[in-house]
Amino acid sequence: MKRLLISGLLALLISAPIFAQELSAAQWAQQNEAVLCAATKTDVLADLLRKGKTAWEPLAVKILSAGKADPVASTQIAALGQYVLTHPVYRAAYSAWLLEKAQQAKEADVVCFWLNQLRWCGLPEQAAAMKSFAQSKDASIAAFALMVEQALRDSYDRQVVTVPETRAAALTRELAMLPEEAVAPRLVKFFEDADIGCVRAVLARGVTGGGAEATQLWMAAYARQTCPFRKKMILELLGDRGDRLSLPLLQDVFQKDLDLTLRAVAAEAMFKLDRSAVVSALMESLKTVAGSDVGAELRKVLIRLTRAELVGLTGTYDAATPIGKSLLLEIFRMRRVADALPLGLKAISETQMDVLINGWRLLRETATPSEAVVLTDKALSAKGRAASEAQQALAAAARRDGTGAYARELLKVVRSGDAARKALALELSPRMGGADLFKEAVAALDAPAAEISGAGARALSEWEGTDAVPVLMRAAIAGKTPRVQALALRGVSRKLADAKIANRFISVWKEIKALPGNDANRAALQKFFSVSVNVAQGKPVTTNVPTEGDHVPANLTDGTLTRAWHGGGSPAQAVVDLGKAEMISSMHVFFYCQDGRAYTFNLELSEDKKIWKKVAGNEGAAKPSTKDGVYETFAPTKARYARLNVLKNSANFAVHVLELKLFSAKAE
Amino acid sequence: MSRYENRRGFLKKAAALTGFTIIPAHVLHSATAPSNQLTRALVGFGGIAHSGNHLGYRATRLIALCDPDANRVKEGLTLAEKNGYGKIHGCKDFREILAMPDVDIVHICTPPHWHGLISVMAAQAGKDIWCEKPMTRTIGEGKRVMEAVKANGRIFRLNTWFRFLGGFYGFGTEVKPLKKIMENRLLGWPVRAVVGSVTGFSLKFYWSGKTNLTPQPVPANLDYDLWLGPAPYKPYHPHRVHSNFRGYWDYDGGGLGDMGQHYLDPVQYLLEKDDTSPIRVDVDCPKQHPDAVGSFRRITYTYADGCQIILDGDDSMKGAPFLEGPKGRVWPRLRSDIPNLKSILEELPDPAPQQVDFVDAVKRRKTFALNENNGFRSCTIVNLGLVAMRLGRGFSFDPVRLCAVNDPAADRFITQPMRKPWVM
Repeated sequence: MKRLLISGLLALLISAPIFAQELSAAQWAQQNEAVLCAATKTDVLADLLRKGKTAWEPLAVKILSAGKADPVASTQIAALGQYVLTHPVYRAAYSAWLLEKAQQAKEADVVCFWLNQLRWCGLPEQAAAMKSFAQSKDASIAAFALMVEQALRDSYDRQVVTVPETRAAALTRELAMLPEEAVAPRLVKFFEDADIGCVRAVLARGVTGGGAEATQLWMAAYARQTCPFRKKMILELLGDRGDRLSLPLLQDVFQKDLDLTLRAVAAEAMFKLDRSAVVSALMESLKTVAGSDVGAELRKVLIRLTRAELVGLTGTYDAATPIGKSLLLEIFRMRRVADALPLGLKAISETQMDVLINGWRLLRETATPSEAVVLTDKALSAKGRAASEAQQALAAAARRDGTGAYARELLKVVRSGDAARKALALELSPRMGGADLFKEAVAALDAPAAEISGAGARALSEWEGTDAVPVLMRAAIAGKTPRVQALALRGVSRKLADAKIANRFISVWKEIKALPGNDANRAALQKFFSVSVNVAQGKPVTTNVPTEGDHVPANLTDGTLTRAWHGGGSPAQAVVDLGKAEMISSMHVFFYCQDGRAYTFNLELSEDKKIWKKVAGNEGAAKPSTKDGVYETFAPTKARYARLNVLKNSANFAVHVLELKLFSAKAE
Repeated sequence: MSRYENRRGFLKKAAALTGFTIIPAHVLHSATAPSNQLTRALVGFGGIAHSGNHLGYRATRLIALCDPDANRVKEGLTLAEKNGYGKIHGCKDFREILAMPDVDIVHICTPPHWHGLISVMAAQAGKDIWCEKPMTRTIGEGKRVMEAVKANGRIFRLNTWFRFLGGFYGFGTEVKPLKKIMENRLLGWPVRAVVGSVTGFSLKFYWSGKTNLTPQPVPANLDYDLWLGPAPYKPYHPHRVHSNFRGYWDYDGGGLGDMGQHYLDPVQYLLEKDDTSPIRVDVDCPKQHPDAVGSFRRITYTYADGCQIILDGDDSMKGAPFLEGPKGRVWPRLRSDIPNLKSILEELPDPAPQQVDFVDAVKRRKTFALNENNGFRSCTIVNLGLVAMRLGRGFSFDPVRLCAVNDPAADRFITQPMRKPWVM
């Protein structure tokens, strides 16, 4: 109680200069760096120590209590304590003075301050003096004195951890007494008898020594062993021993064992002993693999081979099972093994779907312009699941193609193919791009065959950039058939989902809306323009907290949920400058949402960055964030600036926001 | 026979039984019947223990938690029940947890001044250990943890993961491709790793202590003496405890203490320094207050083979973070002055796999990927920087004897005494 009263009084007395005390050590040190550097320079410390007590006493006067000690003086005293450790000539005098100050001090905090200095630089003979402090009625002094006594006696360094001898330690002692040839048999016996928790030490010891005899002993132990955990341990040991004698056993386990974990461990051991053994074991396994679980294990091994080793496996393809073929094609694709291209061409003529698909995927990465004719032909006749893979492969090959061979081949089909192939080719054309294919797609809108005109509309909907937007808008209003109009409208909607495109084409819409056309489409298009548009997208963001890593504030308005802003502290503010005043009527914010955490936030709007109006938020009702984000509507409010205040994160101190969308009605 | 022995015996028999069947082991591993599931206790229920990764870690069953703050124990028990663990045991003193025979894994979520001591006591009590970063507050304590874990045959997991999981913060890529670059000496050798403010050090500068705290009454719900434990007894102030303790040398080391091991452990792995430490550390920082942690401008670590790690605390180095060797540089997202780096990487095999399944490591008694040995080394990088900051100068370090070279002032920070009755 007395302590509480003293603390309370101290708090009242010291409340006046509270501002200065609120500085963090980092801020304080930066502000006072010059003073501190001057006070703790080596020559200054040496001079102080040379002058003795008369120079030290003024420092002691500045140590009033824990709440009022002068930080420069306390830092200088600590620096003296470090200095005397490397200049022992002053150590005895200085530590004697520290002890004297501790003995003279009245307040507990001040006593502890001096004892703390002794903790760093006191002498062993001062330990006895700590006994009187240890008997103090004040608990903090007594506790501190015991700690200092321990430090002065250097008992820490001499302290021995008392740990009863474990079975492993007993074994080590026993092994030291045995002749070399008896070590391995003893280890194997201990391994088979001991508690599983003790075998680590045995295995560490078994890795070396004993030569071929020891390796054979461990292989025999493997054959006897029934516990899968111990079998794994022996396989690992065989790998670590570096003795190729065990390779046949490891290959056998890798190819035949029913325990897939053991297969994986055997592979790992072979990698250590001889990589070519892994390759030959894989060759055999690919010829027999029948289950997807075994395939998954083989895949883990295949992925670790070098490109040269993988090229060596291309000859195995024809003899492999369908799962083996799929695996090979998949790995060749992942590592872009160009030598495997003929296998891809072979695979796309197979009937087994997985092989077929993996063949197309390999070609996606490896096909060259030389394959343009055959790939275009095959892709246009692919069916089912293979069709989309084939089209992707064709598009990827075309993107890599600097000669234009794929685009020319597709153009040939568009101009001369039968209707079905022509329609498919048109739909593929946006992936190739180019002025000629674009003209064909525009012309197709007027084609008499519904299949062709529909394909033209779909192609233009997918066309990259904005060239297709006016064409689609006109077709949405004045397309030859209602079907073309409907498809074109769908394309317009997709294009205008991008706010930048929407803003640019509002004027175009005004021009074309007067055209005669399908009433239903006109109404739908009108409705589309009355739907809100995200006006925050792409706008600059400023924050008042540091950024974590490369999760910059601009990610908040980049229009995607794949990048996020990470602010290093909460509460945090992010201010979006919309560039001009907008009427905002709803907001949608997406927070990180993996672990059930909840973010408390509110949104404020302002026209001038001075007067803010709170329009949305979840204070007092924050729920765990979800991938759907938080959507709120409010009375339309005119604002140029929006301020997102993230007040709290239930998981940690930082804030993580994927996107902030602000919607403004764009109706004319 | 104690309940603990019975439980381990059961798991052992379960393991042995699998030998008589042809059921693949991974099928058995997936079994989650309570009797076949490892159990875990949370020691300390502050910010980190609240996280979904810890409270919601389903691979083990949470059966107890403790904290010297009664309010936190109460909150922890409620949250544990909400998370589906039912009514678990809650207490103030971690020694009660260590005495529980049913606890397999002790998960240490306390401030760092407790990490070393509880790890050693848990190892001596036969528990496996999952410890938050930084591994220990001093190098001396880390050494003791290594010794105790080894002597008692325990499995130790240090909780940072960038060397084997997820994107390597600030480098915009996983560690794996960087490891391939280093293993194959694409940059040449020795390599200099520059870790800049983008990786978090300057960000965390605000985790600094305050000078001259006015003593205040200890709240009734907090056992302040137990919270302090081995740390010196200093007057209570709310800024010392709970979420602000990182700003005081007695309990942690500010932003570097908090985040350093996260960022430096993968760097150590890349530089192939899992079994050694720098021989020299140099520092440029404002003079540090004896009680409250401040900031640093730059810390430079040098290894015996010439490799260096530079912590750019004030953003004065251009382009950080990056890895640089005699043959080239790599910046975030694998940007490099080595032509066709990405296609070269595709031709190189992946690095050797790591043991990243902690439950599997405990069951099979396999060393976890980030363990008491390499975790100690990466924590030593952090602690060497902190010692240099406190000294206000650089010093030389002996990575074998684990002490400073002819520098008793540095040694006093490397090995620090504990307040009685606590001792390691």
